[in-house]
Amino acid sequence: MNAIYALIPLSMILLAIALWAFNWAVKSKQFDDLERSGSDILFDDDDELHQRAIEEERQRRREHD
Amino acid sequence: MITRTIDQTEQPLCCHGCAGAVDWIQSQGLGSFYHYRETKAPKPEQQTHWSLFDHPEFLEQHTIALDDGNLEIELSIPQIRCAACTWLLERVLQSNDGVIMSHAHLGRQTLTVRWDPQIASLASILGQIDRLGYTATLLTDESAFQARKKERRQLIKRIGVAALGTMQVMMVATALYVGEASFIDADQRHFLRWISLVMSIPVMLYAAQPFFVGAWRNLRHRNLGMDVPVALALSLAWIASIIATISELGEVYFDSVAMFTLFLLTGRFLELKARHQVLDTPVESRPMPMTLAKSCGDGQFEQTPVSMLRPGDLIQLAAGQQTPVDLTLISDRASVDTQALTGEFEPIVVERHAEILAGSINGSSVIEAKVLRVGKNAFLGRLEHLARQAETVELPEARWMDPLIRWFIASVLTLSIITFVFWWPTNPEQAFEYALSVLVVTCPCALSLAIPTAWTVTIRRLRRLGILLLNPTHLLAFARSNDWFFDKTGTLTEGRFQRLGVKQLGATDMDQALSILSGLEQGTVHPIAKAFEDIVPTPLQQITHLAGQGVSGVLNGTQYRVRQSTLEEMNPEFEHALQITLETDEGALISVALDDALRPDAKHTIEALQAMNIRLTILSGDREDRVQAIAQSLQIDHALAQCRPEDKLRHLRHISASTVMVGDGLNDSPVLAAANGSITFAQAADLTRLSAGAILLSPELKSVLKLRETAQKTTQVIRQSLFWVLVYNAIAVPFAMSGWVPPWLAAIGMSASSLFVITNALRLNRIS
Repeated sequence: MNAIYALIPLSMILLAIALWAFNWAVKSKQFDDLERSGSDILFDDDDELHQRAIEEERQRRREHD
Repeated sequence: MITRTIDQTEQPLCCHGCAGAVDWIQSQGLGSFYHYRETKAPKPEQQTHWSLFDHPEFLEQHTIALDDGNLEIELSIPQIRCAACTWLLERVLQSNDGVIMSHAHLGRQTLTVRWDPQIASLASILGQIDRLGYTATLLTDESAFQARKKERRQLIKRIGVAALGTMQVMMVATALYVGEASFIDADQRHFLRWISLVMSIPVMLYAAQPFFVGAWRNLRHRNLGMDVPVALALSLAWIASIIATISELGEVYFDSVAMFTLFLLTGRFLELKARHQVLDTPVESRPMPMTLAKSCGDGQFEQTPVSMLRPGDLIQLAAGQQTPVDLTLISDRASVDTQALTGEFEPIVVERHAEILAGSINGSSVIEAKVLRVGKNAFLGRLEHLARQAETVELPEARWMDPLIRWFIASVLTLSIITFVFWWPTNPEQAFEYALSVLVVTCPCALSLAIPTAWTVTIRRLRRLGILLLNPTHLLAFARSNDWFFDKTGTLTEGRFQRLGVKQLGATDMDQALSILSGLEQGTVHPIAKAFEDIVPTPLQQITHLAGQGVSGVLNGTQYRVRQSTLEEMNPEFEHALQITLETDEGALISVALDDALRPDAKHTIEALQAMNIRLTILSGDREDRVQAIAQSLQIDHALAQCRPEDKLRHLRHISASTVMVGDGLNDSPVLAAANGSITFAQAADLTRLSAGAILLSPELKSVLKLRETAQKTTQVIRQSLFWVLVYNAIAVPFAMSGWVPPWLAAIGMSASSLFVITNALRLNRIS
C-alpha cells in the first residue's frame, strides 16, 4: 500500500497538467461555440459527397485557368 | 480626479491605491524613482475622456430627451453581478444633485440614469461609475458581445477547474470511506486527507469565487441574498475540514464542498447560456441601414451616416429600404410596410406630410421625406424605452425566496451560538464540535440548491421541447397565472394572407385562372403574392403595376388585370376578408377572398387554456371588426382592438393578479416586459425577444400548454424540496444541539438532504 505515497503525488502532477491544458483550450477559444462542437463529430472530413464536391471545384478551377 | 505632485508637476492618478503608493514612496524619500524610471505607467485620462460625453451631438445621439427637459441614458455595465451591485450603483448615483432616477438591471447588466442637464452632467455620472470600479460602456452590440464571450469563457474555466478538482477529491474520498470500514492505517488516512485538502484548494479559491464575491457584496450592503448561504456553507464546511485535517480529529467534507461548487456553477452556466443565446443571435431579417441618402441642395443626394442625420434633413428612401429614423413624407404618396412594428402585414398607404415611423419599410418606389425624429427619440427608441420602463416595476415573484433564506440563516446562526454558549460552561471541549454539527447538519446547501437545480433541469427540459426559457422567475406566473393575454396578428393567426375561398364569376377554368393570377402576383412585393406561392404561375408578358390599383399582364394577346372586387363580385361568406378579382376585357373571371388565417393549433390551445379556467383576453392593434371575428371564432369573450403599445400596457396593469402575455410584434415589447410571465416567438424582433421570459422556437402556439405544464411541475418540485429541507431541519437540529449527532452522521444527513433535493429536481426530466 505504500505505493500510494508515490502514485497520488504523481496523479496530482497529471492534474496540474490537465488544468493547464484546459486553461489553454479555453484561451484558444475551443469552448466558444459549444453547440457546434457537439455536432462537429457527426460530419466526416472525408465525406464522399464533400470529397467529390472538392474535386469538382478543383476541376472547374483548372478549366477556368 | 485624484492627483499628486510628482517632479514638480501635478499628475493625474487612476485610483486611491496608486495615490497611496506615490505618497508612501515620497515619504520614504524615494521620490527620485520617478526621475530614474525608464517606462512610465499608462496615464489615466479620465477627465478629457469623460468630458467628450457632454458634447451636445453625443447627447442628442445617445440619450433620450424627456418631455420635462431631463435626459436619460442606458449604459452597459458588465460587472453588475448581483442585486447588491444594482443597489450600490443606484444609491451612489441618486445621491448626486440633479440625478432624478437610476435603475440598474441585473439580467441585462445595464444601468439607466435620468438626470437634469441644468444641474448634473453625463461626464460626472460616468466618472462616478468609474470611481466605483465599474466600467460603463455604450450599448453597442460589438462590445457587449465581446463582454459576453469573456464572461462565458471565465465561467467555463471555473467549471473545468471545479470538475477536475471534484473528480480527484471524490476519488480520494472513496478510498477514505472504504478505509473507514476496513480499518485504514492512521498514517494513510492522514495522508489522503491532506491530499484532498490540497486538491480542493483550486476549487474553493478559484472556481467558487463568484459565490464569495457575490456574498461579500450582499453582506457589505446588509442584504442576505442567495450567495450568502452558499458561501457560508462552503466556507464553514471547508474550514471545518481543514481544522479536522490538521488536528487529525473530526470529519472532512472536501468531497461535498467540491461537488456542491460544481453543481451550482453548472446551473449558473446554463442560465447564462440561455440568456446569451438570445442576445448573441439577432434575428432582424433586414438590418437597419447605416447610411441614408441625404440631400445636399441642388437635387443631389449623398450617403450620410444615420447618426449624422438631424431633424429637418431631406432624405431619399429607396424601395424596400427600412428607415431607422422617423420621417415626414414629402413625396405625394407611399405604401409602407409596418409589419416589423405592429405585426400587421397589410401595407398602409401614407399621404404627403404624414409620418412614417422608424422600422417601417418603403414598399413603393423611391420616396423623398424629411427627417422628423432621430435616435432614441425615434419610434423604435421610444418603444424600447417604454419596454425598459415597464420592466422597472419589481416583480414580487423574483424575490419570493429571500425572506425564507434570511429567516433560515438567522435562525441557524443563532441556534449554533446558543449551542456553543450552552455547552461551554460544562463541556468546553465538546462545545465547538456540537456547534459545528448544528451548522453542518442544517447545511444551507440543500436550501440554496432547491431552486437553482429545479430551474436548471427545467431550462434543459424546455429546450428539448422547443422552448427557450430566458428568465426562470417567469415560471411561477406560467404555472399559476389565470389571466392570459394574447396578441392577434402573428400570435393567434399566421400573420400573412391566405386564400380563404375562390368564387367563379365568368366561364373559365378555375385552375387556369388561378395560375394566371399567381403569375401576375409573383412579380410583386405586395404581401398578397405570398398567398399564391403554392400555385404554379403562368408566365405573362408586359406585367405592369398600377400603384394602389393592382397588376396587369398579357397572355396570348389577352390582357389580364387584378383589382379589388366590387360588392357584387364578393363572396359574402368572407365579409371581413380582402377580395380580389381577375378580369379580362370581356369581364370578370374569378374572385378570391384573402385573409389572415388562424394558426392551425390556435383553437385547440385556446380551448385547453379555457378548460383550466384561465381568463383570456385579446389585445390587438388591428381593426375592431377583424379582432371581433377572431375572438368569436375562438370563443374568447374579452377582445380589445386598436390598442397602441401604451393601451396594451394599461389593460395588462389593470389586472392586479399575476399575468401572462403572449405576443410577437415590436409593439408588444412593453407589455411583454411588464407581464409577470411573457412568451414570444423565435421570429420576433430582438427587442421583443429580450422583453420576453420564454421564446417558442417552433412556430406552434400549443407549446404554451407544454410550458404551463412544465412550469407547474417545477413549482411543485421546488415546494417539495423546500418542505423536505424544513422538515429535516426541524428533526435534526434538536438532536444536534443536544450533542447526540456525531459529525459523521451530520455529514451523512447533509449529503442526504442535498442529494434528495437534486434527485427531486432531476425527476423533472422524466415527467412525460
